[in-house]
Amino acid sequence: MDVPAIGSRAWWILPRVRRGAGVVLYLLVVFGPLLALFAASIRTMAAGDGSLISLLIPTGRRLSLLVNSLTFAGAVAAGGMLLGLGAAIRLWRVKRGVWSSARWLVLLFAAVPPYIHALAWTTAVSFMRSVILPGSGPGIILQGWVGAWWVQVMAFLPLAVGLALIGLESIDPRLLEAGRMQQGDLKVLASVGMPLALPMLLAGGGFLFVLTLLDYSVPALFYVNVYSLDVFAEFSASGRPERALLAAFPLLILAAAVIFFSQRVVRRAAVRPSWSLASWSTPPSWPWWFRAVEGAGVGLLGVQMAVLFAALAAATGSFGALVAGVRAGYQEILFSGAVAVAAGLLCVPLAVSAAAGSAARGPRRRLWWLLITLPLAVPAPLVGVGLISMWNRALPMEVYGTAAMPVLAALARFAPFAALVMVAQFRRLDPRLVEAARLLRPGSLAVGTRIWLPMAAPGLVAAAAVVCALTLGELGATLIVAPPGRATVTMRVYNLLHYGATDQVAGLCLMIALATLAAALVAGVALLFIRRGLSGSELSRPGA
Amino acid sequence: MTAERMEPVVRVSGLSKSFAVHQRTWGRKRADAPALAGPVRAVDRVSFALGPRERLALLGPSGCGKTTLLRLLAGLEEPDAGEIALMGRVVSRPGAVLPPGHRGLGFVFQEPALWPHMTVAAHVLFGLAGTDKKEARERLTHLLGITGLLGLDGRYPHQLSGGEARRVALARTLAPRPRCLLFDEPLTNLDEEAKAQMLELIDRAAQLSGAALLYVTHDRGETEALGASVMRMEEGRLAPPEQPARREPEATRMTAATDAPDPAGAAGGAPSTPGEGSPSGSVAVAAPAPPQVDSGIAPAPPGSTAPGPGADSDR
Repeated sequence: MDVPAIGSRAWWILPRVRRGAGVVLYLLVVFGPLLALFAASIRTMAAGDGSLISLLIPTGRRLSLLVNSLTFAGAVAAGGMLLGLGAAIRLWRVKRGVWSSARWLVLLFAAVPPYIHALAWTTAVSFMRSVILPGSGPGIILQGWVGAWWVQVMAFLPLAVGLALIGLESIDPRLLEAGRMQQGDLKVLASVGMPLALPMLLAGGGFLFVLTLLDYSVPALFYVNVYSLDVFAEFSASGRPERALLAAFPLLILAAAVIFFSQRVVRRAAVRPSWSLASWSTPPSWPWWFRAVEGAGVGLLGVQMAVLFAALAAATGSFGALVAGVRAGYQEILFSGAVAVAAGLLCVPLAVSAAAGSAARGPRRRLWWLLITLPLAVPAPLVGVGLISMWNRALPMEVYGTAAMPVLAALARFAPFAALVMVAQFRRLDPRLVEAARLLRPGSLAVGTRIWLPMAAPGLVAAAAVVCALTLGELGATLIVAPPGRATVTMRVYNLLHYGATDQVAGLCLMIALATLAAALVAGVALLFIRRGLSGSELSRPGA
Repeated sequence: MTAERMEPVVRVSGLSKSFAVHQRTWGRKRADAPALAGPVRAVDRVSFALGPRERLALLGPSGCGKTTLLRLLAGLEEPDAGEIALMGRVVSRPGAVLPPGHRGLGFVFQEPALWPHMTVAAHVLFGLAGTDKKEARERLTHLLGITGLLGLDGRYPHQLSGGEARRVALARTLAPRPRCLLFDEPLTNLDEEAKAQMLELIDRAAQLSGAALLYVTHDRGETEALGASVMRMEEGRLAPPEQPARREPEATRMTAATDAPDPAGAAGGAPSTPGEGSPSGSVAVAAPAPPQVDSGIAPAPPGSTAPGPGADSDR
C-alpha cells in the first residue's frame, strides 16, 4: 500500500472541511433567524430609534402578563412533574418481558400537539356535563386559567412521566439494594432514590416550565393571555421583527437560564449506562396509601390517553365525517406531510454535525452542549419572525414566500432535538470499531457506508422521525412563515378551533394525532435500538 | 444457650432460580439461537445450612450462580423453587419474599455501592434509624474506630479512596447488628495491601459481631485467610464442602485487647469455630456460638425493620 505524501494534506483537510461545513450549516439554520433579528435590532437602535429600549424591560401590563405567565408555567411544571412522578414510580418497577420496553411508548404521546388535547378535553368535559350531570347547571366547565392549566398538564403528562422515569432509571440499582438491606422500601425511596433522581426531576420540571412559558396555543384557546402570545401580537401589530425580538427578550433570558442550569443534568443522563440489574427485583413493600398514589398516577395517564382518542372519535361522529374532513383539508394535509418529511430528512446531517461537535473534549464539548440546548429556549413566533428577517431580502435564490420557509422553521426549532438523539447514539457507538475499519481501509467510503452507517442507523432514523413527528404538530413558527395561499393542516385546525369544534376539526385533529404517534413510534423503536445497542444476546440475570 | 441459638441462622432447601435469555438481533434469527434461548438455571436445587458464628465460603467460576444465591438469601430475588429460612422462619419461597430490610442480614456488595449524596456518618447511621440518638452516635464512633475511619465521618464517597469506600460499606453493613453477613467478592479491584487490610477487617468484624458469614469469592487464598469452610459451586449446583484449610492466618490474628474499646457495649467475642461439612452436601450446624456473645453486633429479631436497641437483648 502506498503511503500518501504528508505534504499534500488532502487526507487531513477533506474530513475537516466536511465537518466544518456541517457545523456552519447547523449554526446558520438554527441560530441564523435569531442572529438576523439581533442584527436588525442593532441596526434600528443605531439609527436612533430609542423607543425600542423600553421594550426590553417589561412594565405595566406587560410586566403583569410576564408574572402571570411565569406563575402559570410554574404551576404546570409542578403539577405535571408531581402527577408524572406517581406514574413513573409504578412504571419504574416494570422490568420484565415486553412491558419493560413498552412502558417507554408513553413518551410517544408527548409528540401530540397541546391544542389537540385542548379540543379533546373540552369535548370530554362537555360530554360529561351533558350526559353524566344533565340539568345541573354549569357543572364542570373547562375555562380560564384553570382550564388552560389542566389541559396543559394533561398534554405534558406523558413527557413528565417519561422524564421522571429517565430520572428514576438513572439510579444505580445497587445503591437502592444497599439501602433495602437495612431499611423499609419507602424509607429507601425517600432517602436514597429521590435525592439521586432529584437533579433529573428538577431538570425535567425546568423543561416543562420552558415549554409552557413559550407556548401560547393552549392559553389562547382558553382566552387567557400569556407573554408568548404578546410577542406574536407585537409583530402582528407593528410588522417589525426587531420589536418582536426585544419584546421576547425577558422570555428568552428566563428560558435560557433554566435550560443552562438543567443541561448539565441532561448531559449526564445521556451517558448513563443501562444497568444490568433491575431496580426492584423483588417487589417493594409500599404502604397502601403510596400504592394508591402510584395507581392514581397511572390511572390519570390512562385517562389522558383515552380522552385523546375517545373524545376526538366521538366528536368526529362517524367515519364519513372523518373522510369528509380529510377531503376538505387534503391540500393542507399533503403540504404538512411534505414539510414534515423534508424537515425530517434535512435535519439528519445537521444533527450529525452538532452531535459530532459535542463529542469533543473539554470546553468545546460544553460549548456544543449550549449550542444544542439553548435553541430550545427560543419562542416559536420568534423563530418565524427571525426567518422573515433573514430571508426577506434580495437574494440570488428565492426563499422567502416559498414552501422552504416552513421547512426552515421546523429545522430551526427541532434540529436541536435531533442533535440530542444523535448525541445519545454516538455515546453508544464505540469509536474503536470505526477506527479499526479506518486502519484497514483508510479513506474508503466503505468505512462510512458499511461500518459507521449500520451502527448509527437507529440514531439517524430516530432523529428524522422525532423531527417529522414534531413538525406535523408545529404551529407557532409556521403560522408566521407559511407562503401565501398555502397552509399546513395544523394551521387549518387552529383557525377552525376558534370557531368551535366541528366534526371536521375533530376528525383532522384525530388524524394529526395518529400521524404524529406513527412518526413518534418509528422514533421510539429506533431509540430502543440505541438504548439496547446491537448486541446479539444478553443475559438478563444479575451477574451470576 | 437457648433453643433459638441452636437454630441454623440460614437454612436453604432445594433452592432454584432461572433467568430468561433475551435474543437481540436485527430481526434475523441467529443460527445459534436455539442453543442460547430459553431459561438459564442460575441456582439449581441448592441446600445447605449455616450455623451461628459459622463461616462458609462459596467458591466457583464466574457465572456459576454464587451472586444469585446471595441475592436470593438477601431477598433481592424471588426463588422459583425451594425455600430459605432465617433463624427457623421461612423468609423466601416462590410467591412470597420477606423484604430485604426485614431479614436482619448484612450484604457487602462487590462494589461499595455508597450513596453519593451522603457522608460517611450518614451511611453508618442509615441502618440505625429508630435507635436512640446517643446510642446511635456511640455505635457510629465504635464502628468508625474498628474500621479505621475515625475523622472521615464528614466525607462524601467521592472524597474517599477505594479501600476507605470498602470500609465504609462494611461499617454501614455492621451498624444494624446483622445476624449473618453476606460478602459478594468484596475485594474485587483492590490492590494486594488493601486486600490484606480488608480481609483482616472482615475477620475482625465477624468475630466481634458473632454473625455467621457467607463469603463469595474466586480466590481460595481469601477463604484460607478467613478460615472458612469451602463449598464449590458449578453451574448452579453445590459440590460437597471442604474442610477449612487454615484458621487464624497472620493477617487475621486478633487479640481481645485490640478489639476491646467498644462504647456501644461491644467487646471481642471468642473466635468462631468454622463449620464442618457433612457428606450430604449440606453444611451442618456444627459450631454454635458461646452462650454469652458480647459482641455489640448482636442479631436483630426477625421481622424488625431496624434492629434498634431491642436487638441488643443478649448483650
